[in-house]
Parts: sequence; structure tokens; C-alpha cells
Amino acid sequence: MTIKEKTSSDIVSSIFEPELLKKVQQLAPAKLQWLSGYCAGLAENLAEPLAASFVSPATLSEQQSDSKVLVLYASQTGNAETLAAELSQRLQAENIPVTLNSTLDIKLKTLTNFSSIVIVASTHGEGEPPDDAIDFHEAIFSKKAPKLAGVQHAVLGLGDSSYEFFCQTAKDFDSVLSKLGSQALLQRQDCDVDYQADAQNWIQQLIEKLKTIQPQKQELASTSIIPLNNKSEQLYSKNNPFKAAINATQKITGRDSVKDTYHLEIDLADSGIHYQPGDALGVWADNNQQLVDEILQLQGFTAEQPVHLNGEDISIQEALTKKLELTLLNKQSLKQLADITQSEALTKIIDEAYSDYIKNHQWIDVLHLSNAQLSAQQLVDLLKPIKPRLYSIASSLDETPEEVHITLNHVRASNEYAERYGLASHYLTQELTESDELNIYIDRNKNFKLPADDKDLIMIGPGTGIAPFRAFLQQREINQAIGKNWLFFGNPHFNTDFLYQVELQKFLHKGVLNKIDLAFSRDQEEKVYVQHKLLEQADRVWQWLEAGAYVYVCGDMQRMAKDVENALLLIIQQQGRKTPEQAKNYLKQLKQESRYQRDVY
Amino acid sequence: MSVQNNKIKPSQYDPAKHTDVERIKVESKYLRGSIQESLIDPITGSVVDDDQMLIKFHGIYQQDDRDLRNERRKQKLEPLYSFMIRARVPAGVATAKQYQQLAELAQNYSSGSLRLTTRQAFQWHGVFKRNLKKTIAGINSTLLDTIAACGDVNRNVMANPLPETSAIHQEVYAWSKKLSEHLLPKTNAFHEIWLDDKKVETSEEPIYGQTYLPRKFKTAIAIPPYNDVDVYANDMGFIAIVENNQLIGFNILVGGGMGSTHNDDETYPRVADVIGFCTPEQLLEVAENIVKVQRDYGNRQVRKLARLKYTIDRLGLDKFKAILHDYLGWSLPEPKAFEFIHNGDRYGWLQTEDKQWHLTLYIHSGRIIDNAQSQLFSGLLAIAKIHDGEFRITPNQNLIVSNITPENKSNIETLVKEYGLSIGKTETPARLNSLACVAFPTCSLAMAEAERYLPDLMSKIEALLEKYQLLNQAINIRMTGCPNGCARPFLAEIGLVGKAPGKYNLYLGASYKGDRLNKLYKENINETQILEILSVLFADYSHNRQPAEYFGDFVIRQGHIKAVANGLDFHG
Repeated sequence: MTIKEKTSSDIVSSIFEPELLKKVQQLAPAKLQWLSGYCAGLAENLAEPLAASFVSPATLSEQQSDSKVLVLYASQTGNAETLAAELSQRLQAENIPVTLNSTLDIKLKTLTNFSSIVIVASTHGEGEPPDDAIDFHEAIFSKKAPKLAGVQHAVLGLGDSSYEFFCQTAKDFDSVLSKLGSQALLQRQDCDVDYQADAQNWIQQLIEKLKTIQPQKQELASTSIIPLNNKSEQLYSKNNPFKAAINATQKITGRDSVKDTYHLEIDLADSGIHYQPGDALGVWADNNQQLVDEILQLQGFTAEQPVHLNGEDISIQEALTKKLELTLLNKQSLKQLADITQSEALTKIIDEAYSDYIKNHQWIDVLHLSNAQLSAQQLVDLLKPIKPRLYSIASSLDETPEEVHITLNHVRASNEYAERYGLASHYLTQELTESDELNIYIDRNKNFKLPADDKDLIMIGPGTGIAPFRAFLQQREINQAIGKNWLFFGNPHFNTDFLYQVELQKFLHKGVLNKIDLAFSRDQEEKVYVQHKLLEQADRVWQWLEAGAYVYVCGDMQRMAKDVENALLLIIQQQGRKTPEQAKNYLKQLKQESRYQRDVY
Repeated sequence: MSVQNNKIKPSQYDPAKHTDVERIKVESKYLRGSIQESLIDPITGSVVDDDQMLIKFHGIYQQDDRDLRNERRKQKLEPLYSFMIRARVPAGVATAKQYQQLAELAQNYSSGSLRLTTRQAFQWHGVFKRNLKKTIAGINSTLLDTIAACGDVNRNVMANPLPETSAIHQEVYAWSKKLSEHLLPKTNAFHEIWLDDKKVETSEEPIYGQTYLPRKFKTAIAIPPYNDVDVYANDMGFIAIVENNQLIGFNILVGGGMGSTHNDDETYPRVADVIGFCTPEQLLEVAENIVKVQRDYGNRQVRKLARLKYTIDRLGLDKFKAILHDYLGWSLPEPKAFEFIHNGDRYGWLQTEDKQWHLTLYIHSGRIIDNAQSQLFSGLLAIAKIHDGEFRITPNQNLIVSNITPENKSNIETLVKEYGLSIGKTETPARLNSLACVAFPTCSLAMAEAERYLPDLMSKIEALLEKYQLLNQAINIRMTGCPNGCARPFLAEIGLVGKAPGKYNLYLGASYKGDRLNKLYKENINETQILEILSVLFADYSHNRQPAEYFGDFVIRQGHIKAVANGLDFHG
């Protein structure tokens, strides 16, 4: 993210009361449009004075943070860390404001908060960064790296000259910082195995240098202010989706997992799109080309054969790829097909095995089964239009501005013919790659929203049901919410399927997440699921409920959500000494108070 | 020199000067730490940092699959942590029944293989945290245990596993067990944590004190003329002295050790010094006091300089002896004469006077696993089920099926054939003598491959040996993934020590008998360079060697490398 972006988001939070901001964000699109026009007009009228008042609060905070030195270390054995800590102590002794951080837990976007960046980096193996710096190294060389104009840097390398790529990591950091626009404060020092003398000498020089440049900082701060971006926000919707690029596609289940779960990061830059934790992302997907080709071939159509669809003439290939649903079956269309083809096999399935059949069959299978010989137009008339797929958003806009994250399983099912794939999950995870574009929009979900910051949360989200709770936790951390957070998560195996494990560990260590209960169903003889974990903790769950906690459930509707609801009812009944009827009423009451919210599918 | 007036006290813990490991030991309440809490923490497959140090004393190392580290980081998963468990097996002797139970534990809770170590212990790799307690309890139920298999204490006591010196061997084996027991930590922590024993608040360590030793401590007993145990590579060594078929006592050795750090001249491997003699009855007293001198004089400020070898070089050998004599209250007599001729294994079948048979199996890198070449794991398990003698681990990571009755011999021969086990008759002497440590993917210290790679490299080296008609020449070749020396690379005639993936330091000039260190010949070279250098040296050796001259002696006589008299001139 650039300085510009940071400045504008700072301004937003500095001029708006959080509550006002929340209200604005909740406004309907039409009202927002009106408001943006109103504000633009207001701004034009007030022009100069307003601009000044916009900028000044931000300027102050910028100045304060800008005068700071960031000392980062990338350490394998602890030597770099020790040197960095020493440097930081000595800077403090000189009254130079300094922040000491490992490259492991520095966020790229915070680099622009500092006027000087000092990196002490060791090099590992054949020129590789040490373990704690691999992510940072990768990130700062990626397109996500911020521009660092106006920043100054200095790099101290630790290495072993008997290796070919001596101090390579330090060299990398030095060059990439310069490339991002930062000025070298001091020439890089590459230290060999006996590093102490060289390192101490360099640290001394650095401190002298930093002492001399301290006063210049205020100038720096004032030049880094960039005027507000006045570009009016376009409003995107289901029928007017935004063309967004994929920033990252990452499988997040480990090797040999039975599940293929993915984490996707989608770029919202310049879209003006806002969303809140609990909202869903609508995705328009194209059908798989191979599947389309198979249907064309089976029916003997040529790709270019014209068909009439929604008042337009387009090719059958385009209709099948972009317009028509090929993966989901519906009874009505199947009955029509059975009438056309007079297929006994199809009729039998419709009458006797419909709900099982549709779990792992798609249109291609039905065409096989019924030996259909349709005209292109007949097929097009049978099929329903493609619908967008919705995914619970897994990120908070405040944590990753201008990005939206989702968590999804690659849906696969085998049948007597072949392996079949889910429309959007296959499209998103197997066909698109980083920097490809897709059509998206935000699907607001008023019924799955965070409560006030002082409320406690119980979040139950096994499998990809974890997604909105990642967003919740990010938001609660940013809000510095004082309410407690308790997560129930489950999946088949601890080793491979603990989604967002490292992030959840950090949330726990930081105290954002207060309690976690895990159900890894296949790690022991008897299967353990989240509802069992709820029951194990019945007394605590009851205490939380009675203290006003909000309960959220996300994930599988068919089984999990029912089992969880039954577990909750049992807890209310037993712990609250209620009849089944009273327990139901208690839960109903929770629903009415928005204290029992579900996002199940 | 008298040290009578010096006030010698167990070193007092000094947080300002001592390493962080010392703090962990002090705060651990005799090795308890927060291990119990760590074991039940569900969000991670690891234990907290301090406990990682403490579990070593319980015979456990935390590791992770380094092949997967990067992949899992991207997957937002923590590293795939698992644990290596090492059982303490004095002299490497386990009964067939014990072996069977240990192998079944490997099937149930680890990666399905067992590993024999160069210090005669069994190891399980890839045990996940949720299975740790079950595995340790299982090992304990075989009446073996893992206490002090690792950590800053005296570890598994090695002894010559050869049954051919039968009566003497039995006696020495008994002493190795007594020595191992005598030097065990006395804390009840092990039983509380792993076997759910009731907590005993105060436990004392009469020998070690609350900070235990400054560093690991290795002990071995050798029976001449065989030096299978590499007695010179141990902190404390004993050489059995036999006169008229009677064990009259032991020569005492101190200050051996392999570990060193690349490019750090302060660290070096060192062969032990022979400092005296004691009777069998004095053995425990002498051993205990050597341990105590190291406890009190060892370096607790710089961990890499904490082994006994550095203590001795810092004090000087004479001063060290004087302090030891002072601790003992008497002086050690002069050592007796002895001679070693060998430090390798004798493969195949052997019958002793008592008519019992013994079978030495060749096990590559000590890894007992089923693979395409042989069903080693299944085969040994099948043998264990019909055998009522022992399984003995040799210091070269091979296995002796010992005390096979004449009636059972043909049954076992049948199983050996059926499962494709090697009795060392088809491998070249160089391959039979080769050693490698575990290295990638589980060892956190590894900088380069060892166990997974050495077999391939050996094939290429064998091709060279064949070219120069040296295929029947025994040469010790050892490879480790780092300079810590688990496979004792600095006592190899050809030592290869990992520096980075695909890159090794080449060491030459150790003696075949294991009493002289090698020396760095070429730094940071890849396979092509290794083979080029060896090709030149083998050509020279083939043409210009003297009769019965070993390769390690030849390279010195021919001036390829200087001889190393002891650790202090390893770098010179």
C-alpha cells in the first residue's frame, strides 16, 4: 500500500466518530450516492479551509511516527537479534525514538511509518534468508511492497565468507529498499564469522549519522502529505460486478489432506468497495472449458453454432461457458428432458433417487444417461442461467485495505463417468491464477454482524466455516474490543487441516482470542466434532450465554448446524434447568436479540 | 600440584554470566518445567521453548519436517512438528521380546521405522505430540527407558557388543549397566510426566545438582583389540584390561568429542587422553568423580565450549588430573598396555565356544525400514518373534542377533533370505564401514543431506575404487549434515561434513583404528569436486601405497595432509 492510501484511511478515522462511520457504512447504496454528491458539493464550496482541516490531524500523527527509527532483524542463530537489540538500546539512550521488531512479525504496510529503517540480517545456507525472514523477504520483493520515497535505510549483514552467496540476504534487502525509493543512510557492512568488531564499528557510525539527521524529519513529514483522493466511488452490484484481480491463491490444507481448502486474496484497489465482517463475496464464474467441449462433442454441436438467449444471438459455446448453469441440476429441467428424450433411466432417477443423484451428477451426466439428441437451442432452453456463488468473507477491510479474502473448498465428486467439479470453486482455485481477473460484488448480510465491542462472542465454525470468524477476530483486534472471544473449530486432522493455524495462534498469544476448542475428528478412534466440544464445555458455555454472549455459527447446514443447535438446546436445558420447550424459547429469545446468528449453507 | 586448599564447590548458578540453558535447568525444578502443560496444549504440535531443552533430558527431541517447512508456512500452518525419542540401551543389548515391543511401538506411533544410533541406542522418529506419552509409556513397559538418553547428563553407556569374547564381555556389559544406572539423574520428573506417578516435591541430584552438567557427556567402554565403540571420541572412556582371561580393571580416558562449529577455531574435535588405570571395583567412584570435576569446572558461559574436552584443554591435562585426584582422595596408577586393531563390525554368522550362534546384519545407516530393496523392518520383527536371545546394536549402527540356539539357526536363516536382509557379504568393505547421521528432513541442525544421500555417493565412490583396483580395501567413509559430529566424521579416513545443500567440507587423514583425527582438506565442495579429488587420491594410493597401509595413513605419508596429533592442532 502506498503512502497515499495510508494517509486517506487515517483521515477517515480521524474525522469520523467510529459510530458515524459505521452508520455511513451501513447506508443503502442510493443514500450513499446521494451523500457522496452532497459531500462533494460541500467540499467544493469550502475548498481550501476544509482541505487544511482534513490534513492537519493526520499531519501531527504522521510527524510523530515519522521521526522514528525501525530496527528489524532477520536472525537464524540469534546473533542478528542480539546486535539489533543492542543497537536499539543504544539509540534509546540517545533519545532517538526506535522500534525493534523481528522480520517475522512486521507488517509490510507499517514500513512507511518510519523515517529510517535499519535491518540486521543474517544469511542462511546458500544465500537464503533465515527462517524468520522468508515471508518478509518474499513480500518486500512482491508487488505489494510499499513505495519508500523519503525513507532512509541501512543494512548490516552477517554471514560466512566461505559460502558462495556471502551475506546475500543483507544484499537483497539493501537493493530492494533502494529500489523502493529509500535512500541509503550508510553503506552496507557485510560481516564475516568474526563479526563483532565490524558490526560495532558500523553501529557506531550509524548512531552518529542518525543523531545528525534527526532534525530533518519534520520536513520529511510535511512533504509526504498527499491530497485526498476525490475520485467518486463507483457502486458495484450483482448485475454490475467489479472486475477484480486475484492477488494470491493459496492452498491452506497440508500435504496428504483429504480436503483441498484454499485461501484467496482478491484485489479491490480503486473500486471503492466496502464490506463488513459477516458479509459475503458474490463471484461470477465461467464453466470449465473442458466440460463445455465435452457437451458440444456429445451433442455434435460446433462451437460457433448460434443460439438465441435473452434476446441475443450468441454462439452455443459462449452460452454454455458464460451464461448457463451446467453443474447444478434441477427437477423441473430434468423432467422436461425426460419428456423430450423419453428416457426411462432418467425418469426412474427423478422418481426414485433424485436427491442422491444430484449430489455427484451434472448436466453432462444427465445427457449421457438419457442418450439425449438435442438441438443447440433445445439445450439452451432447458438450462437455467448461471447464478453467482457466495462465499463468507474471511477478512476485515481495516486489516487488509483494498483486499477481500475468502476461504473455500475445491468441490469434487466422482460418479460412474468421471470426476466432477463445483463451478466456482474449480474456476477460482484451479483455472484462475494470480493476477487473473474475475467478476465480484459484495453480498451484504445484515444477519451476521459483530455486536458492540464490549460483548462476548462464541464462534462455532468448523471447516471453511472459520472464514467469517477470521474477519471477526481481525476486526475485534483493530477495534481493541474488550469483549471476549471464544472459537470452536473442527476438521479431520490436526496436522493438515487446522485452517489458519498460525494466525489463530497469534490471536491467542495477543489475547484477541481468549479461548479455543478444537475437534479433529479423525485423530483418534472415536469421531469428535464441534458439538461434542460444546457439550464438554457446557457449564462455561452456559455462563457465557447468561453473561450476554453472542453466538455465531457458520458452515455446513445439513448436519453441523443442526447438531450444534441441538447441543446448544441441551446445554440450555441441562445447565439452565429448563424443559425442552423452555430451552427452545430461550434460543428463540437469543435469536430475537440477534444473539444467535447463523451463516450456514 | 595440590588443590587441597582451593575451595571447590559445585558451580553456583549466575544468571548474569551463564547461558540461558542454565536458567532453564535451574527453573525447571529438576527437569519438570512446564512439560505437562505443553503436552496438553491443543493449538500446537510443539512444546514451548524452555521445555524443548528439558525434554532432551527425558530422551526426546522436538523436530520438524524441514522438507515441508516452506510449503506449510505458505499454508498458514505451523511446521509439521514431531518428536524423536531415544531409548537408553546400555551396551546396546535388548532381548528379542523387548525388540518386538519396541518395533510394534514404531508401527503404532512413529513413522514405522526404527533407527539404530552410532551410540547403540534405538530411536523413533516422527512421533506426534498426541502420541508421545503413549510411546514413552510403551517403551517403559519393556523395562527400557529414555531417561538421560539426551540432555546435559551422562548418556547411554556404550560397550563392545561382540559376544565372541564371551565371559569378559558379560562382565564388561554388567559394568556398563551399573555405570549407566549410577550416573542416571535421580529426579522423579520422568515418572510423574510420562507414567502418571504421583508428584514428589523434593527430589535431589546427589551427583549432578540442579544445573546438571554444562553439556552432554558421553561414556564408552572398549575391549581390546576391538575399538568398535570409538572410545577416543567419548568424554569419558574405559578400556578393559584382561590378564590371564581375567578382567583386572580399566584404563581411563577423558576428553574425547567430535562436535565443532564451522570456521570457529575455538571449537574442534578431540581424541581422548589416557590418564590412568582403576580396578573394576573403583570404576563407579572414578566415573562419578570425573563427572563431578566436569560439573564444577565446565564452561557454563559459552555452550559450544562446555564439553569436557575444552575443560581439560583450558585447565591443562596435569591440572585436570590433579583436581580429579583431589576429588578422589587418591591418585590413579599408570595405565596398562593395550592394542587396538579394528573399529568395524564383523558381518555374518559366528559361533562361540558355548555353541551359540550370532548373526551380524548390515543395516544401512542404522535405518530399520521396509523398502524396495528389503523388508528389513518386517524381517527383524519376524525374527524377534521366534528368537529367544538378544538383539545387540553395534556402534556402527548394525544389528547382531545374538545367542541363537543351534536348533533355531536354520529358521532364522530362512527368514533372512525371505525378507532380503543383508549379512554384509555383497557390499564392499567401504560401504560396510560407511556411516551417516540422520540430517534432513528431521534434524534441525542439518545443513546438508547425509543418510538419504550417502548410498548414492557411495555407489559413485565404489566406481572409483573399482577403477583403481581398491574395491576390497576397507576405508572408513563418514558423512554428517553438520559439524556436530553425530556419525563421528572427524575420525573417518574420508570425512564429509555438510555446509549447505549439496556442499561439504572434505576431511582426510584419520587413522583406520580411530585414534587419530582427520583434518580439513577442501572446503565447501560439491559432488563433482569430491569425486575429482578422490579420483586423484585413489590413483596415487593404488600405485604408491605400502603393503597393508591404510588410506588414512597413506595420505599423511604421501604429504597430502598433515597429521593431527590432537584437537588443538585440528585447525592449524
